[in-house]
Amino acid sequence: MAKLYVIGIGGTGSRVLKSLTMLMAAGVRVEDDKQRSYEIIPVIIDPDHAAADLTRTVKLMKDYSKVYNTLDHNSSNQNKFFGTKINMEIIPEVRLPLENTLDVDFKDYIGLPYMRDIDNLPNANFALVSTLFSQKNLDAKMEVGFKGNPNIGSVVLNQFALTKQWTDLVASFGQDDRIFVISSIFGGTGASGFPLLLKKIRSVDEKLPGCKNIKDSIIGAITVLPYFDVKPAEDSEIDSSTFMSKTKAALSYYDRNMTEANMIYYIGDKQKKQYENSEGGATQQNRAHFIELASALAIVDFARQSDLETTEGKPSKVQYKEFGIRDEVDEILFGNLDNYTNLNIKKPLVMFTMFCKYMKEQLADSVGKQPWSKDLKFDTNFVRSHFYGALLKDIETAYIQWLEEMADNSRAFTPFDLREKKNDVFALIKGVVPAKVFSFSSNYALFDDYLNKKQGKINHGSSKENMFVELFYTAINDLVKDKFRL
Amino acid sequence: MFNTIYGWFSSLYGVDLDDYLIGFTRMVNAEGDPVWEANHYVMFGFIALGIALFIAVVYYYIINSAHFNKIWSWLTMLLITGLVNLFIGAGVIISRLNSGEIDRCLDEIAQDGNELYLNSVKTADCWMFGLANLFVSVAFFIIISLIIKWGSSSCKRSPF
Repeated sequence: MAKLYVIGIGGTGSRVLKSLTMLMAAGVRVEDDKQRSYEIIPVIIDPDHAAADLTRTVKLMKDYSKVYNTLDHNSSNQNKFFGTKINMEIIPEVRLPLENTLDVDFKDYIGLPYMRDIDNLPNANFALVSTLFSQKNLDAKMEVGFKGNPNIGSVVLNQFALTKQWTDLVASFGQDDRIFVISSIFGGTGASGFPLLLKKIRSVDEKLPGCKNIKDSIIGAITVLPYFDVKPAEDSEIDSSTFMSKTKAALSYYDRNMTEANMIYYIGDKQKKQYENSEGGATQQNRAHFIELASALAIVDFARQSDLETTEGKPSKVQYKEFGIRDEVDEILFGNLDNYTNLNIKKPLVMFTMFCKYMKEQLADSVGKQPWSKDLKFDTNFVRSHFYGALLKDIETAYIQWLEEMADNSRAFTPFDLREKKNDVFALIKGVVPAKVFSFSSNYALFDDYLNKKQGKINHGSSKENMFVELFYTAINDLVKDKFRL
Repeated sequence: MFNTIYGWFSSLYGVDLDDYLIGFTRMVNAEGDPVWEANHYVMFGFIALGIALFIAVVYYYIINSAHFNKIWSWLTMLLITGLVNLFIGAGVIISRLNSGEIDRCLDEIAQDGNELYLNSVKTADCWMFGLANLFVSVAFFIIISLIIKWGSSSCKRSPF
């Protein structure tokens, strides 16, 4: 199985990786043009090791990976939930660590105090540094990132190529493997890390084993243009009024210098929500945004591209893509998306949302009572098991929260009515009237009927965890066909 | 078979109605042999069996709903089966009593010199037979439920 290294830089990188994980949990497959699945190797480059966006994403991916490894993915199963492998073995902690960034000023990091001549006067290096960096830059602490200063990031991020994790990554890189880089252009870490990373890949240290493969790899990238603002704060170095000027400057640089990637996707939104101003750390927990979901779809699209070539570290051509929606609306429903987007995400998201809502709202009432639960012995012990009680429930909570956050953002992606309505369960997709099904059951009783019908048809010889997910996938698949014609 | 089953409940409605239902009369033919009429237990038995089967099939394969697979739903079906058979059993016998059909058989016996059987079946006996019919149909419904429930997807665990 070929690998796709998805490298997220900074907070936006983490959040897009989270969206990708949610899409894959829902059954969106990352596969090539011959429908061969890629194995995803997530990598995050972020000096802000305590950023809530990063820790949430890493936990989610670890949970996903455990679920994937527990399930049986042979072809006799219909299940597509958690269908793409996330490999956590190559870089177990996901993050490429950056050394010496904790409790160190930027000036100490670059050794400014030692840039003196024998008479202890500032030397030429000191003078050069003083022109490139303001005093505020030089005094900046770096444990929470570069606070919107790409000039700092471009210096500090250089060191990731010296880490053991980078060596392991290069060594593990196969001939058919690909790389996708996610970065924002309007902050500090992403804007500086993206060009740097591309240069490091294309001019990789030739002493490293596997260097040829990575040098000539197919690289895709998404550059996220401004899609949110932050509230002004006197004590914060992050000022969203500079986002646009930074973007223009970076785009101008990209235009002249970025020839290392085979495909570059651009995305952004003129409509922006104002977030709390956080320089980083545990308080940097931005709400999920549709832009991040659409950015994750760029990865799916990139994986399917077949006409990309790189020779001697040079792509044969650079292709550019943008993302758009069909209607300019404040609240995006499925009907406002393009057919291609809907083809990719509508059914998986509907199915996984139904799965999560059932687990959240109904499962406790049906376990031990319905035949599917009694016959397959999904009892309270199963509900308390690590697989269900810790992994699936955590993913369910994170997924619903992810949908809620996107619905509460601007522009909002709000295709679902997520309120608990046990008397109108199938009024789930906004703008879609569910079809009538001939049955004496309705709502969650109808859901249970589909589970009861399917339970006799799944392979009773597989593990309980596999049976559980397979049962729900097959039942929901029939249910969405009958109720939503999907 | 039906004679035996109903026989367990015959004490509820008395030996006279039991005799009528079993088809036994004390009429004699020209040769002096007893005259037998149709065995009504067979008719009531098949009706009870048919109704129990019909309601069980409706419950397990037509309704077949997760909403109705609780014990109370099954008990409701049981009750419906019993009540339908109670009214059929009591209703048919009362109509025959009112039409004189039962007394005709018993009259014939009375003409034999014994008037004990004349008007010996009362309306209350008919209701008691209806009750016996209820018990029999309930038993049929339980047995049929246990046999056919395994083919139902949503009600296979009902009543247990």
